[in-house]
Amino acid sequence: MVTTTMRILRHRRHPRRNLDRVDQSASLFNLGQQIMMYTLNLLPLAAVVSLIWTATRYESTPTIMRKSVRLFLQILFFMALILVGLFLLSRGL
Amino acid sequence: MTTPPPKIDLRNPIVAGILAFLFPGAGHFYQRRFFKAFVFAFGVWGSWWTGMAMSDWKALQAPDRGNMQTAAVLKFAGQAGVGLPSLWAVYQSSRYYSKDNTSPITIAGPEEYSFQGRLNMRAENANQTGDVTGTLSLVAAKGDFGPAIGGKFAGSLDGKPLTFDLANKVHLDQPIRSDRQLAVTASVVDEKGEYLGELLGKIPRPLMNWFACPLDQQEEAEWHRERGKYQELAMVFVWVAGLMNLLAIWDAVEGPAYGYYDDENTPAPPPPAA
Repeated sequence: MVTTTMRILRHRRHPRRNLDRVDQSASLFNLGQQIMMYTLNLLPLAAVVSLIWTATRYESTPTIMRKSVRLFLQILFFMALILVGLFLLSRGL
Repeated sequence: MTTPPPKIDLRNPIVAGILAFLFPGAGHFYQRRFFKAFVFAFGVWGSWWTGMAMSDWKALQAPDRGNMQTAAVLKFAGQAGVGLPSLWAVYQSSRYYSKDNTSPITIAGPEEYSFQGRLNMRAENANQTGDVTGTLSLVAAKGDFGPAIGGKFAGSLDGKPLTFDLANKVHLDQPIRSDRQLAVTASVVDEKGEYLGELLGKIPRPLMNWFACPLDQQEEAEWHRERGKYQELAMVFVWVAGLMNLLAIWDAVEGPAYGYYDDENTPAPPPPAA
């Protein structure tokens, strides 16, 4: 009984608490979306870097295409690895 | 017998290098290496334009030659690989920091500009205070202390037409600046020259006077505030474009670093004769 009363009082003292929680999760969702959009810009950048780097190494078009696709996938793999590493390190912060 | 890889004709490598520097892709086009010309043009220009658009066309800034700060020099060094715009940025920087880049005292001849701004009138004409749009006609005039700028404003306030004379002390912002609009301040007067109020607003600044112009500290802070993280990403795009073009220039001058094919494609040598 005492606990329930305290809960009600606490709730009255912070009438916006529940609303804030909803706002917070919405803003976190937006932030997540923004980070996602921001990170997606790195895909074309990685593709262009792989293509140009390989184009300056070889002359044959099939070789350039094959090697640049491989380099692009390698870059993505290491970027994902770093992302996972950073995610694990920042967990609980 | 192994087939030797085809010989790459670099034509005149120096000319190709200069062309590749000035206009990414042009050096390889000159060498008739069309696939590479397309790759470099598409990759370098694509990255460069993306970065510039993302930064609101402010990413390209050359340092002040009279005050070379390491950060500004390094920032520009990454972009300098894309030749033509970088050379323009160097020229623009010299114009921006020149002693001549101050508010003009007068103008050469009559000029007309589209204008957007605010009219602040004195209390007796307070009903004419508000946001206005219209045309600003400026002329060279004689002020109290010598040559000055005068003119007229014709426009509308809340859909009602307005025409005002401007006192011969119209103030224009410095001509070379990164802002795409040029600030104007003028006093509004009646036919007898009696002061009525102030006209404050902006007229368009020509592309050649704002593109690749350095930013002052306040503009830089405002730019960071407006763009946020995208400002940094934009800089990365422009730097990557500049640095990638260095590789392209090298390829135009020296040819590909590892050869025509990779090892997997090179036919295996025949076994040694017994």
